Amino acid sequence: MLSLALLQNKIKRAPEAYEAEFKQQLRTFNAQLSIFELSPPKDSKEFGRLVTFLSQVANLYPKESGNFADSVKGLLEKSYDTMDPDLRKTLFQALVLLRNRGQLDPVTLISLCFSLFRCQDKTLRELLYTHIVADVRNVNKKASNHKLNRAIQNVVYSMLEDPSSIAAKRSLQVMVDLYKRRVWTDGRTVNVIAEACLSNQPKNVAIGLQFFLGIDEKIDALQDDEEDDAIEDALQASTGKTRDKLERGAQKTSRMYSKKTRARLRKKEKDEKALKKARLAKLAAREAGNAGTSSERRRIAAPRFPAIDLISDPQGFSEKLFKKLRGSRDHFEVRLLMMNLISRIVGHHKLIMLSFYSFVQRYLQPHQRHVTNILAYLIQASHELVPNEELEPVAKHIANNFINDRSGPEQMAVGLNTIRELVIKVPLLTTGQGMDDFFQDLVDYKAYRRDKSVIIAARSLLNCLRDINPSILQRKERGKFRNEVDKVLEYGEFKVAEGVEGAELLQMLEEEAAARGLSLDDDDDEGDDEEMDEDDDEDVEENEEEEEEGDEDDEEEEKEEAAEKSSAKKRKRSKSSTAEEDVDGSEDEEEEEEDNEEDDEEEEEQDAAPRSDETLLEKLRRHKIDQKGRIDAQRILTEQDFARIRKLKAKLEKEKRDPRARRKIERKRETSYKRNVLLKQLKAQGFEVEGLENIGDGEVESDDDPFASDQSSSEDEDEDEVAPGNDGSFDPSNLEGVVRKRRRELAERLASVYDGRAGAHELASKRGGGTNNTEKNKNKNFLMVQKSRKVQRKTVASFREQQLQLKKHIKTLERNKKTVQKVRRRSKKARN
Amino acid sequence: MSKLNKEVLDDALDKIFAFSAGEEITKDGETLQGKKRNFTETLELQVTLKNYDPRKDKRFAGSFKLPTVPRPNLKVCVLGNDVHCEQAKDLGYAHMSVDDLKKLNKNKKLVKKLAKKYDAFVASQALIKQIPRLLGPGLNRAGKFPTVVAPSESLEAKVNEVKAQIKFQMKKVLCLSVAVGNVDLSREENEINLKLALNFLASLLKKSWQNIKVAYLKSTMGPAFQIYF
Repeated sequence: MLSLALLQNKIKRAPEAYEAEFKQQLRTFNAQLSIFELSPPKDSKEFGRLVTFLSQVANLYPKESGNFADSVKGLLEKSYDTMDPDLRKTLFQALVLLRNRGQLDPVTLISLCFSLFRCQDKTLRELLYTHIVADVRNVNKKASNHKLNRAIQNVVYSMLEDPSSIAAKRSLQVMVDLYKRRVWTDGRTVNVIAEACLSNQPKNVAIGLQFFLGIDEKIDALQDDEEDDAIEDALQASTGKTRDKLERGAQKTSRMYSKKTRARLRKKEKDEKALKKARLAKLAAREAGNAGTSSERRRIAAPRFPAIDLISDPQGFSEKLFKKLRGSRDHFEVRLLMMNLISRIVGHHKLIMLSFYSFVQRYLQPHQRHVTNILAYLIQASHELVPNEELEPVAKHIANNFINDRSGPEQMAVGLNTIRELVIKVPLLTTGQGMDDFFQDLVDYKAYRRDKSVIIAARSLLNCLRDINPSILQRKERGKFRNEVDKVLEYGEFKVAEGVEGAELLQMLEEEAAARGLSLDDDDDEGDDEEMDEDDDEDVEENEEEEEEGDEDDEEEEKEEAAEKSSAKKRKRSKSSTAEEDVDGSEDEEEEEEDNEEDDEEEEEQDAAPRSDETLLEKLRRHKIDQKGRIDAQRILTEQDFARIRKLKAKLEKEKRDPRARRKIERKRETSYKRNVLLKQLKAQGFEVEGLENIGDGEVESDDDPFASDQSSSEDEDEDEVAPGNDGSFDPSNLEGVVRKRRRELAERLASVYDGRAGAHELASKRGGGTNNTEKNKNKNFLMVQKSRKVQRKTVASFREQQLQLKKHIKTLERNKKTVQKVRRRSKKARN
Repeated sequence: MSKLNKEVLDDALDKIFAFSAGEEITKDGETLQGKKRNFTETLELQVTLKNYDPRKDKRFAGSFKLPTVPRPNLKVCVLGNDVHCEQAKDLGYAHMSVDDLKKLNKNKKLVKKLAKKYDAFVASQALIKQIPRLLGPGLNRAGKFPTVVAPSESLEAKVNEVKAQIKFQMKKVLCLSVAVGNVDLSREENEINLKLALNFLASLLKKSWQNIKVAYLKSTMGPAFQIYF
C-alpha cells in the first residue's frame, strides 16, 4: 500500500487509474468516522491525515465523494468542543479546501464557521475570521450576491444574541470588517450593528459605538493603504524590489561610495522608470476611480453616506441608547462613547431629545474627567430645533461653573468657547429673557487681564454675537459694520429661498448692460433689441464706442438739465454720474426703446434711478422683482452664470464687511463729482475734453466689472474651503484656550521633530555597508586629529577660502535636506 | 455648458400635457395612449446627482417657495392659539388648539396618526415652542415639524406659502424628487416653476450642473421624460 502523500501525487496525475485506491480510502474514512462518532480516540493524527488526503483529491471523483464534505462538516459541528484542537483545525482546513474547489456551499460553511466561534481556541477563531471575510469578499467580487448576503446576515444577526460572548463579538467584528472593506455597505448591515450597540454585552456595545464614531475615517485610511499596496505589488512584479528599496536607490544614497559601472547605471535608470510609472499609475487610478469595470471597484467608488445616515430609525435608536446610557454601569469610557454617538445622531438628524441636555449638564463640572469632550458632545447635540429654553439652563450652568474669577483661565476659555459654539448652533439662545445681560457679562471678559486665552475666547464670542444678534450687545460693542437687517430666526422659522441666491444681482447687471446696449454673453435672451444687433457688429471697439456714446449723452443730459432745472431729483442724479459708465445716458436710450420692452419692466426702470457709483448693496435694495420675473424663472442658468453669481455674491459680501470698500466708494463718488464739475467748466470754456474723461476710470472699471475675467476667477474659486466631515462630529480641541492649544501643538511639533531625527538615523542605518572615512573622521576623538594637516589648514585658511568652503557646504546641506525630508515623511507614515 | 436643452424641455412638457389629457403621444418611437385621470396629476421632477460625496461635501437641504402652488390639495393643519383657530375655522382649514394637543397626551400612536393625516403643519408663535414638549418627537420624526406663523402675519398667506414650498432633501441615495407643478396649471406657470426649481437645485450644488447626472420629468401616472443628459 502506498503512503497517502504518494497516492495523492499519483491520483492527481492519473485519477482514473487509482479510482479503486481512492474508494478504499473513502471506506476507511467512513469506518473511522463511525468509530469516531461513538468515542473520539486519543490519537487522531491518522484520521486527520486521511481527511486531508481525501479533501485534496475529492474534486477528482465528484460522484464517489458525494457526501464526504457533509460528513466532515457534520462531525465538526457535532463534536467540535470535545475534539483535539489539531484535528479540529485540520478538519476545518479540509472544509475550506472543499469550499474553494466548489464542493461545498458557501452559506453552509460560513454558518458553520459562526457556530465554531464558540470554540475555546484562539488560533481556530482567527482562521475562521479570515476565512469568512475572504469568502464573502470573493463571492461578492463580480457582482454582489444579495441572496447569499442576506442569508449570512441573518446568521450574524442570530449570533449577536449568542450566549458565548466571544462568538458574538467575533461575529460583530466580521460585519464591521466587511463594512470597512466596502463589501457590505447597505443599511441592513448598519442596522444590525446599531442593534449590537443596544445589546447586553459590553464588548459588543463598545465595538458598535466605535463603528459609528470612526468607521468613515477608517475606510479612508484603508483605501489609501490599498492603493499603496497596489503600487508595491506592481513594483515587485516589474522589478523584483520593494518600493522602499527603489526609492532609496533613486535617492542616490545607497551607491554613493561604490564604483559607478555602466551596468549599475542601467539598473538605476530602470528602477527610477518603474517608480515613476507606479506613481503615475496611482494618480490615474485615483482619477478614474469610478471608471473601473469590476463591480468591486465600482462599489468602492460608489458614493458613501456616513454610517449614521443609514440608521433606519434614528429617533428610536437614540432614545433606546439614551435609556441604556442612563441606566448604564459600564466604564466611563464606554459611557462617553454612548454620549458621543447619541449627540452625533441627534445633531445629524436634528432629533428632539430634550432630556439629553439636562443629563449632560450633570457632567459639566470643571474637574470632571474629559470635560472638554463632554462639552463637545453638548455642542454636537444642539441644533436649531432645540427650544432655547432647554439650553438656557445648560449655558448658565456652564457660565457659573467655568467662567468665574475663581476658576482657572483654561476653564474660563473652554467655557466661553463652548458658549460661543452653542450660540452658533442655536442662535435663538441670544433672545431669551435676561440673556442679554448674561452675554454682556461674558463679553466683558475681553478685558480680563490675567490670561490671554480668556481674552481671545471672549473676543471670539463677541465677534460671533455681532454676527448673529448684535442688538443684545451694548451699543459701543456692536461694531461699525454689523448686519442690521437679518434678525435671528424665530423658533420653527427657517429660510425659504425664492430663487437662486444672488441671481438678482446678475439680473440687475445684465439689465443694466442690456440698457447700455451691450451683450454680456451670446445666449442672452435679451439680445433681441435693435440696439443689441447694432452693437454686435461693433463688439471689438465697444469700449471706446461706449465712451463716446457716453459723452454725447452727457451733453444731452446737460441740455436737458438746463431745460428742466426744477427737478431736484434729476440734478442729484447728474451730480453722481460719471462719464465713463454713464448709466444716466443709458436711461435716455431706454426711453427710446420703451416700445420694445415689456410694460412691467419699463415701470421698474423708470422708478429705479440707477446711479453709476452705487454699491451693489444699494442697487440691490432698490431692485425688487417679483418671483416670476426673475432671471432664473425665465431661463436655465449656465455654468458661466453661476460663476458670475458667485463672484457678485463675493463682492457683495465684501462690501458688507469691508469698511475700506465703503470708503473707497465714498471717495470715488467724491472724485467723480469733482471731475464732472471740472469737466463742465472746461466744456463751457470750449476745450476738447474727450481724452481727459478716460483718465482714472480705467482701473475702477476693470475692478468693478464682474464679467471682465470670468474664467480665471471661477477657477480660483473651485479650490476653496474644504468642508468638514458630515458625520456631525465636533472637534473638542476647538474648545481649548489658545495657550493650552499652543502648548499642545508645540509638544506635537517637538514629537514630530524627534520622529524626524529617528528617521534620519534610520536613513543612515539603512544605507548598507559600513561607515565611510568621513564619518570615521567625524567620530574620532578631537585630540587625535587636532594636529592633523586637515585641521591645521583650516585654522590658517584665508577668508576667501573659508567663504568658498562655506558656499560648498551650504549647497551640500540643501541637497541632503530634501532627501532627509523625504525619508522622514516615509518613516512617519510607516509608524502611523 | 448646460446640457439642458430648451427644445427637449418644451417637447417633454407638451407630451406630458398631451398624455394627461388622454391623447396619443410618441416616446422613443413608441406610441403611447394617454389617459385622463380622475385626479389632478402632479408634475414631478426627479434628479440623480453625480460627483457628490455625501460624506465630505456640504449637506444640502434647501426649502424653496415656488410662485404657484404645485399641489393645491395639500392638507395643512393649523396648530394655533385662539385667534388663529378662529381664523382657521373661518377659512376652512383643519385646526387644533393647545387643549386638543394636550389631549393627545404624548401618545406616540396618536401623534403618528396626526402626522400621517396632514401633509404639513402651521403653528402660531406662542405655541410652537411647546410643541416638542406637547407632542414629543413625532412630528419631527415624520419630517413635518410645523412652520411658525407670527401674530402679525396673515394665516391664509402663510398656509399658501407652506403649500408652495418644496424641499430638496437627500436621504440614503443620490436621488431627489420634488413636485414642481400639476397638469391643471397653465403651461407657462409649470415652466416657470420647473426652471426655478432646476436652477435652484443647481445653485445648491458645488459644481452646479456638473453635479447633476440625469433629470427626468413626469406626471404622476405618465411616462418619464429625460430632460437632462
